[in-house]
Amino acid sequence: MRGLAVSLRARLPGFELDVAWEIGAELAVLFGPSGAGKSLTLRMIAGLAQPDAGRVVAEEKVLLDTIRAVCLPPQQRSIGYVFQDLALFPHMTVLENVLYGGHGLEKQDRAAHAESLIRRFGLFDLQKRRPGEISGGQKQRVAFARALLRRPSVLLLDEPFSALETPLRRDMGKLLREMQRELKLPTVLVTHDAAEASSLADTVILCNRGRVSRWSTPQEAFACPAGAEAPLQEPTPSQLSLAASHILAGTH
Amino acid sequence: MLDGSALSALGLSLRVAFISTVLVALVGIPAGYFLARRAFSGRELIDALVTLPLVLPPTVVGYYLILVLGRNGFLGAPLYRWTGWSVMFTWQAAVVASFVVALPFMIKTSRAAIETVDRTLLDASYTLGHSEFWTALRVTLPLARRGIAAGAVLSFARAMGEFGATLMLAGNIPGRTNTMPLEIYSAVAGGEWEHAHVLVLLFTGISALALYGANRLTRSSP
Repeated sequence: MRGLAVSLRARLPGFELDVAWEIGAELAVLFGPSGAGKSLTLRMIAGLAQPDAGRVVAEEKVLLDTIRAVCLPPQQRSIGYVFQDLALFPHMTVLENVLYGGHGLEKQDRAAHAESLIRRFGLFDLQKRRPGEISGGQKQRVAFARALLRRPSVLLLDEPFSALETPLRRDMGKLLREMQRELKLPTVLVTHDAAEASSLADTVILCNRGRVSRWSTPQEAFACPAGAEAPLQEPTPSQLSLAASHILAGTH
Repeated sequence: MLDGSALSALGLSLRVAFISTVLVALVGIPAGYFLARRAFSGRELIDALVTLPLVLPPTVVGYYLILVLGRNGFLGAPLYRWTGWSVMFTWQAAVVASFVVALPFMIKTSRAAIETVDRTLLDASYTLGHSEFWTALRVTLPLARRGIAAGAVLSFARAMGEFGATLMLAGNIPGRTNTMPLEIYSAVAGGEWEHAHVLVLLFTGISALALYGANRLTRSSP
C-alpha cells in the first residue's frame, strides 16, 4: 500500500513508547502534550533513534523491521525531515542549504529543482544570504525546500512552526497543505497546537504518554463533547475522550 | 643585529615548527574528531595518554622518544639496520620532538570545537542522505574551523618553543639542529649576551603574535 506504516516499542528511563499507526498519502498530525513521545516517534521513523522493537514501512519499502534485523541508516531512508529548530547550516547560503538536500540527484536536475522550489517559496532574492540574515518564516521555507529537494517518499515535520507568529504560522500551514496535496506525499506533522492540527490534518493521531490514544479525522478528534456518544472505534471510549479533552484543555 | 647564525636558527625553527604543525594537523584533527564523536570504552584513557606530553617535563618526553627512536630503540633499531640511518641528531628529530609536544594542543582544541557543533545539524545532514565522512567535511569541520585554526596556531607556537625534548633527541649541533631556543641557551652559556638579546626579542615577538592570532580566531563569531 502507498503510505507509511509505523509500529514502535521502546523502553527508556522513566518513559515507555508503544505506538502503532498507518497513514496513506495524506497529512497526518501527531497531536499531544509535550512528553508524549511525538518527536521520538519521528526520530525513530527517520532512523535517528533506535526502538527496541518495531517495523516501519514507507511506500512499500521496509525501513525498519527488528524481527528480520532490517534497520536502514538515515541516509538510505529517503525521508524529508524538518527539525523543530530547522537545523539550517549557518555557514552556507540559502541556495547552498537547499542544494545540500539534493544528494543523489543528477547535477542538472538538482540545480533546476532547487531553483523551482526557491522560486515557489519566494526565496529567489535571498539565495545569497546566510540563515542568520533572514527572518524566521524565510528560514522555515528554506528548511522546507531543502527537505523536499531530493523528492523524499515521506515528509516528517517536528513542530516546525512553533517559533512563528500566528499569521505566519497560518501561511506556512497553507503552504504545507498545498505542497502535500500536490506531491501526494505521506506527511506527518507534530504539533501541540489544536487549531493547527484541526485546520491542516486529514488524520489526527492523538498521543499521550508514549501511547496512541486515538486516531481519527480532525472533526472526530476535536468536535466530540466529552462523555457524549463519541464516534470512537478504539478501546474504552470514556477514557479516551477524557484524555482528548485533557489534551485540548492543555492540562498534561 | 641579525647575524648569520641567528638567521639560520630562525630559519630552522620556522621550518621545524611548520612541518610539525602540518603533521600535528593531519593526526590531531582526525583524533579530535573521533574523541568528540565516538563513544567507546577507553576514550578518556586515550585522551589522557595523548595529553600527557602537555604535563610531563620535556626531558621525560625526550627520554621516551630515545627509547623508541634511538639507535637501539624499539623502532630506531630496525630502522637503522635496514637503512643505516637514524633520526637521532638530525633536524628531523627536532620535528619529531616538536610534533609530540604540540599534538595535545591540536587534539584538545579540535575535540572541544567539534563537540560544540550542534548535533541536530549532523542529523539533518544524515537525513539528507549524506555519509558521516561527507558530513564531517561539509558541516562539522567548517563549523569547528575557528577552534581548529586556533589549535594549529597554538601547536605552531609550542613547536617553535620546544627545547628539552629537542635537546635530548636532536642535540645542539650548530647549523643542523640548533633551533632558536637552543641557540639562545648556547648564546647565554657562551656569554654572548647581545646575540641572546636579539634572539629573545625576536622569539617573544613571534610567540606574542601567534597567541594574539589564536585569541582572535577563537573570539570572533563564526
